[in-house]
Amino acid sequence: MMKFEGDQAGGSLQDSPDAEVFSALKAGQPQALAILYDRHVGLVYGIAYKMLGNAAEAEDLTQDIFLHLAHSSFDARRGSLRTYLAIWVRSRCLDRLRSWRNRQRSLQQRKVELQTQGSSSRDPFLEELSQAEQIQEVQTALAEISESQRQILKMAYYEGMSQAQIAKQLDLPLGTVKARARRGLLRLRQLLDPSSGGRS
Amino acid sequence: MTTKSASPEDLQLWLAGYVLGDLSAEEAEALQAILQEQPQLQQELAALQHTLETIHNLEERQPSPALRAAVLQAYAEQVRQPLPTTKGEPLQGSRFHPLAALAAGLIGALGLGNLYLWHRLQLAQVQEQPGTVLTYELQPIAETLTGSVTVQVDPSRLQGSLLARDLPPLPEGRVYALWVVVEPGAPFTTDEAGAILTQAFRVDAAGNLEQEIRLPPVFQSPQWVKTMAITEEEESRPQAHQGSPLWMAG
Repeated sequence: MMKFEGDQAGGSLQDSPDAEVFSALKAGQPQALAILYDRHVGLVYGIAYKMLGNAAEAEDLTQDIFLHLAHSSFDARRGSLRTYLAIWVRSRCLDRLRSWRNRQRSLQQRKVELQTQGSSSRDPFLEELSQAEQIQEVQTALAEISESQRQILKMAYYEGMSQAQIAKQLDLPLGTVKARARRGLLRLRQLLDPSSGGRS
Repeated sequence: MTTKSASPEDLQLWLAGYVLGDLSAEEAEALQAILQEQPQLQQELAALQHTLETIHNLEERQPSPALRAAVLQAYAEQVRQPLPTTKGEPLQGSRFHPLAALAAGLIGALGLGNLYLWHRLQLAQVQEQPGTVLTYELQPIAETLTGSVTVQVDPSRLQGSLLARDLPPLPEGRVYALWVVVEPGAPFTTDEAGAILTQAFRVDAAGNLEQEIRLPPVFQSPQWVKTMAITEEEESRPQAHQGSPLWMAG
């Protein structure tokens, strides 16, 4: 069986970090989207399905995310694609839930109360954490970091707020917000995987 | 900040900042330099990412297998007829451009079930625009070879012509095979070399041939076409794809 030139490049892209594959996508290499889809569709669809509770809607949103990825503002030098995707899809889910709420307030009220940020006394972040309570290790680790670190991580990752927005809302210097988020994550990594030897 | 000046603590904080998506431009530049020198740090990034997702109780879930092909097909169409712009800015809080929202709304309104019909509509629109002809000039890849092949493709009708000049005539039982090589990940069925057999042919005693041919559907999304190539194969089973490329489009 012969091999055409270019297969090697495709193969190496398959093994490349997300940042390189995303650059290839921006450069118009169509195989890059297939690679990123295969790597991250489980994350994107998993969040969408969990929040929307409907497979067809979740697939529709998943498709929308990947179709727009090449033209997104993601900067591969400054952050993780998975984090970007997670925040993006969560934000889009909240938009859809809000839209449904506006159109079908009575029918969707219960779901909206459960899943829409800021419109309920319930805290979806804590609800998700309570689901994770089955994992004693995670619960213990979360208890080990400070309340401030937990709050900032929640606002950054779960609510998709920028560090500047968090700093403003919490009335903290930007540097403090960044440091607490990073140290909180490093501490959690260390607690959940003691062999990592990560610093906190 | 340079690689040499980065302390282990700085490095850990930058890795965490990368996963959280909050690196400054200077930090990003320094970290990229370190990652180039120490690719094994990708494992540390993956571990931090896993930690972040674990504490948020994120569980991966796979959609139906059909979604992959639908996304890639729709992307192929989008490349040909780009959407106005994107939506996004998840870390900035400003997510929508009105045109992007309109386009996304249209896609959303169509829904997955209608995506196929939408795709067919796009194809129908292409089919209503005759006159676009793709031309592939296949040249020998070795100096010892002579001749050339021109393939012209009408994507709207999936028909074309093959014009061969001065190719070496083949012995009995052997044929030339024309292949379409598609991009990796393309949503089309190919052999293990990523190729689709398009036409088997022989040339006359002078090495010439002029023939109408049918083309595979990949030409309806020509951005997935990497190149065209010709090999020599057994006449009884050219699809076995045992030969190496002899002529190839540049």
